[in-house]
Amino acid sequence: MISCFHLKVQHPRQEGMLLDDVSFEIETGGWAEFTGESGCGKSAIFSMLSLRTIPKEGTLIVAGRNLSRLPQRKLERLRAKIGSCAQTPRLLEDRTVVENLLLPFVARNQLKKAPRHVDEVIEQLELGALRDLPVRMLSESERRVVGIARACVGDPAMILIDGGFEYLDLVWKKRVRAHLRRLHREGRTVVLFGRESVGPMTGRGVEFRITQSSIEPVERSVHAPSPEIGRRRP
Amino acid sequence: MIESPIKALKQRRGETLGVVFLFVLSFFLPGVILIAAERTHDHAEEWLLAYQPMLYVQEGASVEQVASLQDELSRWPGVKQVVKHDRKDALKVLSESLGEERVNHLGISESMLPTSLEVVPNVPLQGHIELASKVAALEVRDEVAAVDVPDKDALRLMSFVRTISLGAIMMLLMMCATALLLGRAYLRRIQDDEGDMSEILEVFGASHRSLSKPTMHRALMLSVWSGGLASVALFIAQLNLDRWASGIFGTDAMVPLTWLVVFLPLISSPFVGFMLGKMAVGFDSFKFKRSTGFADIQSLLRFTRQELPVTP
Repeated sequence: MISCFHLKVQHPRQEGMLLDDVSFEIETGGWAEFTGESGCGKSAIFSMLSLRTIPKEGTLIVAGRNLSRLPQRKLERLRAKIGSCAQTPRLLEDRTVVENLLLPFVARNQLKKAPRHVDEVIEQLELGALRDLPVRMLSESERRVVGIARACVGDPAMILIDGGFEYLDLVWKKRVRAHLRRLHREGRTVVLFGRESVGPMTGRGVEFRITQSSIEPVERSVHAPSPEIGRRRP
Repeated sequence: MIESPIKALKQRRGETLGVVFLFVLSFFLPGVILIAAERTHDHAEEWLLAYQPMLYVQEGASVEQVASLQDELSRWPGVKQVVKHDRKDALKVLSESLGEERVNHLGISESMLPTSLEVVPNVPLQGHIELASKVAALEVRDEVAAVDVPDKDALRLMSFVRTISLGAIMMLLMMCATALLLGRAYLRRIQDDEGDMSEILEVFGASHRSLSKPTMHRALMLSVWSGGLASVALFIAQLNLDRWASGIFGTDAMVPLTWLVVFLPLISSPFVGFMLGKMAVGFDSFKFKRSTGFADIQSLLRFTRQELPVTP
């Protein structure tokens, strides 16, 4: 699903590289977690994998497409296959939860199946009580759940969640984790970014630990990439 | 974006009306000037065409001299024919215009009137203008008593009206440019208000084309409303000008060109709307058609910067 080679990311606030010559691979239908301390570069990778930024140095291949050679129209189509939730999800404050959840369908022009899908996600995450509330009335934890729910609606091939479950209340944490596991079992690629791993890996799970400008795979499945991939290159 | 694009225009009723008024004004003011100028030009042209250059022959001139002069004038380039009006014709014309009783009362007889030569040009208007100065120069000839050429004021008026028309066209262009710039600023303000929604939709794969559609739609609505109103206002102005002109000039025939001026705002409104829309969304919004790179990476970078975590 994702192959990344020799990626370099400049530190946004300091001199030097935030990520220096890193490579990793995430297979289709896999479960991957990027863990590390604050400011280690998780959000930078999230930004690139969710196609919000394009790497200046290195090669990033998402769903078989090399981003550095992808025309704008195809980039838009590729974005439509990805559901992402940033650390602070941007939501429409005056709109209700259900309206916010409908936005990915509007963007992808899939209005026909939108209400059913949204209702399913609301039911699975037990968001029924919040359904018709405007977002400005929600707590931080609830906003985050709405952001994650929005990333999951509309059958995206890959779901990316930045910030992990750190800001979620325990009850939401369990529901969200169960929902993501269900989507993973259905064949979606799930990639999480957080300070810690959210729990035990499945057979196809892989955790990448980001330390000192490099990425080290902590745990690999039988389908994990070759030993060279995922290590800092000399 | 997730509702009718017109809703945003309705919510900002005052600003929308302001922009529409500006567009109407930018079509209406130059339009009225153009219509008035065209009517005046048309009447000046009518005067000029009805008034052929005339030569009045000396009382003592022989028939041969008159025939020779007529022959000479007929050979001039630009002269279609030279019509001779003898004294009998002159009395007849005078009786028709003043009335026979009045002519008799004044004691005017055939012998008191001159023989005249009417010079008819090949090309109606330009020929008049060219012949006027040439015919005027014949006054020094012995056999010519006087010349009567089209009034120079009519020519001067036509030239002045042409300048006014050009000025009105310049005014139209400048006012339209101003209206387009202000309209663009207004549409961009609406876009900015919808910035959050656009950015969310963009992250989930909405195309540039679909993101710019509401703005294009709004631009078209603004220009069509303005074009329609301006055409109605110009039509009313045209009727009033015609009524006024028929009172002064005694004619009521409408000039075809003025109809074009009346309906131009309505006819051109889709094009104006398209221009306004493109100015608001940016001419590179459809860049993916010809680019192999990333058309709008800056907006993505901006979006990402906002979402990057703030670390201690």
